Amino acid sequence: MDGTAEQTRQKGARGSGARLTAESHQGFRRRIGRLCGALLPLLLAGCEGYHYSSVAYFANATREPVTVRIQALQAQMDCTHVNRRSRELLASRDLFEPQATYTLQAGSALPLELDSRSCGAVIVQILGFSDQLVFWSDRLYAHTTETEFAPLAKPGFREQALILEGDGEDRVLANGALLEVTALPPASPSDLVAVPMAISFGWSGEPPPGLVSVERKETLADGCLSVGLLGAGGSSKLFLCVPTWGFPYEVGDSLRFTLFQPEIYEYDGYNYRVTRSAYRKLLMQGATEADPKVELWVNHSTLDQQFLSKFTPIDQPASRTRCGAQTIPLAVEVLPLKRELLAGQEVQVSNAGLTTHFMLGRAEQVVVAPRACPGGYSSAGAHVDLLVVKTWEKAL
Amino acid sequence: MKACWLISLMLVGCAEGAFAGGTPSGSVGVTQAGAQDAAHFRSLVAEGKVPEPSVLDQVGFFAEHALDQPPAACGEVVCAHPMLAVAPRFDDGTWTMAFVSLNSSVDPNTRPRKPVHLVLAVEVSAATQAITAPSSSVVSDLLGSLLPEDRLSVVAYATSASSLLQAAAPGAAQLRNLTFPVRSSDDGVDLYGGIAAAADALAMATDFQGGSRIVLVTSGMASAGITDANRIEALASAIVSKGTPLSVLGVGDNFQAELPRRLADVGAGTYAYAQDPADLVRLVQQEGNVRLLPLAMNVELKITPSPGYTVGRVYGARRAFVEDGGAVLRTPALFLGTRSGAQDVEQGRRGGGGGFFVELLADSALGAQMAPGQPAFHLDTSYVDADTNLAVKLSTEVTNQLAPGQRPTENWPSFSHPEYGKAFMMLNMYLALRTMLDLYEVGDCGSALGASYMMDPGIEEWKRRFSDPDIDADAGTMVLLRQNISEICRATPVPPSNYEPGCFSL
Repeated sequence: MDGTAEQTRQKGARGSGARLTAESHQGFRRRIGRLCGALLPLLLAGCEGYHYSSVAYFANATREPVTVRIQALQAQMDCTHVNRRSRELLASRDLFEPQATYTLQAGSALPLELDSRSCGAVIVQILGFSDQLVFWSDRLYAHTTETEFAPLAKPGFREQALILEGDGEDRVLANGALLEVTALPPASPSDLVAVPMAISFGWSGEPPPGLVSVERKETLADGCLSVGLLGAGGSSKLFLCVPTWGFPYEVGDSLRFTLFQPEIYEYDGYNYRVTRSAYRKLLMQGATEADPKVELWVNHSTLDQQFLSKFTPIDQPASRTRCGAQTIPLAVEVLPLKRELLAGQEVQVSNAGLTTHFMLGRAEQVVVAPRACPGGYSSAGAHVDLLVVKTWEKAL
Repeated sequence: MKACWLISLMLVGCAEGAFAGGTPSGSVGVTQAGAQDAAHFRSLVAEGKVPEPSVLDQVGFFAEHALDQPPAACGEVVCAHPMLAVAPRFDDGTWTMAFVSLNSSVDPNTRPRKPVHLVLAVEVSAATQAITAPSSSVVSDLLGSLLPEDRLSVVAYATSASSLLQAAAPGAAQLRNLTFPVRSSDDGVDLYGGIAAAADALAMATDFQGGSRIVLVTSGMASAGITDANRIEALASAIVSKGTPLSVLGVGDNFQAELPRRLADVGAGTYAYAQDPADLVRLVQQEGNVRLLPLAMNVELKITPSPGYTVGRVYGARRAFVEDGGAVLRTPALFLGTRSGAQDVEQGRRGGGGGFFVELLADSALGAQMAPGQPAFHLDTSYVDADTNLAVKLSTEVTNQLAPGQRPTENWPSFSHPEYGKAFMMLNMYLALRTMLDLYEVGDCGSALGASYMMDPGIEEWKRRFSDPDIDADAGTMVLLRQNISEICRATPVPPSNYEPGCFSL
């Protein structure tokens, strides 16, 4: 093993599936450095070879080797919202998983940037110190080292490094001015604080094509609706989590469903993989134009020209979900209303015999999205549910 | 049996005593829903492996231990027993831990056996195809454990849910050739739809009089329909709070345990993983043998620290949270369980243990000004008696013989109830094993080994004072794990530092 950042043990050596080790990451960086040294001069005269390249470092400026444990963030971040708020949003050990332990020789550097995220965070554990949460923003540039040793004389390096200095009993940690470093307190019960469930809309089941009739309409134990439908292909079930007025049809009524769920093409470097978007829209239309019409939007994440014209994050502390995601509530401007709605808010407007009932369901910006979270909390960004019900005044 | 029993019943076993003149006597331990053993963890250790830390399920580990409790003499159907241990840590600190266990004076065998409407909701996605193949005898074998007055519904779900059978009597002709649909593609799994369709099946059997149960077979995926885990858990919780226990059987090579675990925690039923079709058949058959009677609904336990303490870590209850400075555990229902037929729990131990541990962080500065013998915490228990529908409220205070943060003078814990101290040693063994796994996981083999060696004197001291096969077995597992780590790492044992959840020292 070259370099002084000697990994004590390779993870994934238990037959549980190979995982990229921290050492592999470093090796990758070193290889890139050497590749740059070998090839890029042909293209870019100023490019020099380097040993490490990273936005953030740990450096051992003592005279003794030091053992350092690194824990890696297991979440996607919305960098814009996490910048300057890492203490509030990331100070939870549940968001991190052990990465590797290193024995770092005196004077050595350890790159902390474990992948190419635009912003990032790790927990650094050093014997005798509180765990250190280190966050670097997406506004920093990578610094390089020529060898495994930390270029401590370079101010730029120092600004982006957590440095262990001094000796023996007098060892101290110096935080780089451009990093956000938080000493984590002993585990506290803050992770156990209950948060109210976001008011999410949704549906389960595949509505049959064509005109169908409502056979059965019941309320489930959780307040959602269970709807039995009879179409040309037989009976089927639809479970709708909306307020009761969100399904304005009764047993015997006929209606049509239209489902919209875009496909997403993801390229992994070798192949395209097609997945279904978390965003879905369900349209319900009665048998005639004069019957009620329902539009249900779930997990919408982008603005559009029809309904959602503006997302405004509300200035308040983030909420932590049970799976560890951090969210900020959004005010959503609904275009036909020309006003903003908050989660759970509903508005009814009438015009020329048409009554339109709007309700905003979930409306939040997920700013920290742990990989372990389900569905709408595993990706950073806006998540908005909207219900629109149009009813026409019946002619007398 | 190959299946690893991860969880069993919310309330297991028979009363230790019998009814005498209409007055219930004896007590039945009430454990939280969740894993019922740590068999998978132990089998991996026995194979020479070092499992991932998450494999060591704390609820399952606790449930393997037989814990004695005070008699269930509170005069209500469920009694709560709060206790306290204060012990020295390996450093200068003090380990202060509250514990609450539940038991009942009701003997399940004295309750009439009502007919049951059992709904089997089976995931038939590509992920579970190997285990729910058309040749599966899961339904026909289940019938053998049902009585003629019982009813069976079967729901199949993948991208959407459909009813294969609605409230049929065990002898019904349509049961003979029932097979699950075959799915070749994997367009997602609508777990919410599967549970909702099962609830629908119960609601549609309007003429049935008796109890109800749902047995959910799942790969753990929720990738179609309503995928919001909170919604899915809320549906399960609402179903259970109406008196229907939900059992969760995991299947598939890529079983994702997180959501099934959460459902099992609210479900008050069995939680197990089937490794192959034969396992699934056996597990479902056992489900048919289990009878669960609702005992208490809307159960809440709240531990409120007294002045000088705050709430720290919580163990043994994944659904616990902190509210107004106290640790709260809410569960929709407690059921009384009996099982007929074989109780084949291979690798399991005496079992039945469990409870709710809450670490109390002492304010040493304040503690220095306080006299010993002050209250350490207050326990409030409330629930609705399922039989009488009356609200029950119980309240108890537990005193610390020492001042907050004060270490016991003897190198031995100060217990509020010394005769029931085993619960705390059980937690200590869990913490020791977990420490070893965590430190190994992070690559710090020396500290992982060091932690285990530091436990040795305490274990010996415990064994000298108490003879207990469960703690002996834990110690044996720890030695095996130590050997496994040594063989992989060959590191020199060193005392761990910077590991906060720590054990107590004896």
